[in-house]
Amino acid sequence: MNNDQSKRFKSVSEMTQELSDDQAFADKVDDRLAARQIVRTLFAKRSAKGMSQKDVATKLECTQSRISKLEKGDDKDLRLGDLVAYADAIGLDLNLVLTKQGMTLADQVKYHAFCIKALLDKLAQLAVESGDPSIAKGVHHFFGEAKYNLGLIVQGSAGILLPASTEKPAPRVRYRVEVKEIDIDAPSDLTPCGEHP
Amino acid sequence: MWKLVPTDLFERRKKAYQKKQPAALIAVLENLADYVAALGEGTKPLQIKAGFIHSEGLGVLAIDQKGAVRKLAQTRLYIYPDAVSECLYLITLGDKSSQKEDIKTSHVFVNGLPKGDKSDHEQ
Repeated sequence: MNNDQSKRFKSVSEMTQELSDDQAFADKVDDRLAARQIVRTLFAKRSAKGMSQKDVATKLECTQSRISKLEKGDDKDLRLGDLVAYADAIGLDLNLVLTKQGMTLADQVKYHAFCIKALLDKLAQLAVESGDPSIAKGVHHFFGEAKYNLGLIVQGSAGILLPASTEKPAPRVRYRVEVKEIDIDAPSDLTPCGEHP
Repeated sequence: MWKLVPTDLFERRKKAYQKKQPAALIAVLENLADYVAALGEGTKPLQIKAGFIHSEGLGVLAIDQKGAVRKLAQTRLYIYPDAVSECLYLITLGDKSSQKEDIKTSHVFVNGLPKGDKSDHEQ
């Protein structure tokens, strides 16, 4: 059996689109996959928690077949109450996000960036209100870590572009976080320590 | 990140199923997507339990069509999740009549994988 390992796909959808000579069939697969995104996530999260359908059923005081039916159904058949209860049973909170339709990926990134800003502001406010310098110091330390990690995330995604891009890549900037030398009065403890092509 | 690696045998069988049993093939692919989503959460391959997953020995798993609203012809997709390389090999696709042969083919495929590319499926 020939195993052409040059064909590697990130998802079932990508594979079906690439391998199918019947576009209508590939689109049908995509439609079905899109119809079960939430229930698929529930199944995946339950599996990651090492829980069986029976475990969830026991927590929800219902039958295993009900959990099975829920996991094999479509998102449109899910009741919000069941979703909340299921999430709780597998130790997760449910966060619903309502956004305008047709958001581009860039819009979504901006949306999440604003969410991060709102959370950081809230954290800073809580630290100020506590009046406890050690909490403020801890939050400041956390901000340093967050800044570093967010930079790494953006840099990592930009790295995907590089092989295909004909443009000169943006210079990489490495930050050093000096945890022990944090001065909460200083604007930032993140020191750029050089540029690397 | 896990990657799906189809064999040419899988591709040929998939084309045939697309014409012969499209609904059953879609149901199997839906179940495959569920399995891949669980892998994406960092779950160990053999710890993912569901009614549509069957262990066939040597780390080979069969994913069937169960879960579809209406009753469909029994169809099984034979896969091998290699935790080391994070490659999910899609080996072959078949029905009840070809089950024995498909399992045998899958075992031959797994035994033919380079040692470094093979998970310790006994664990």
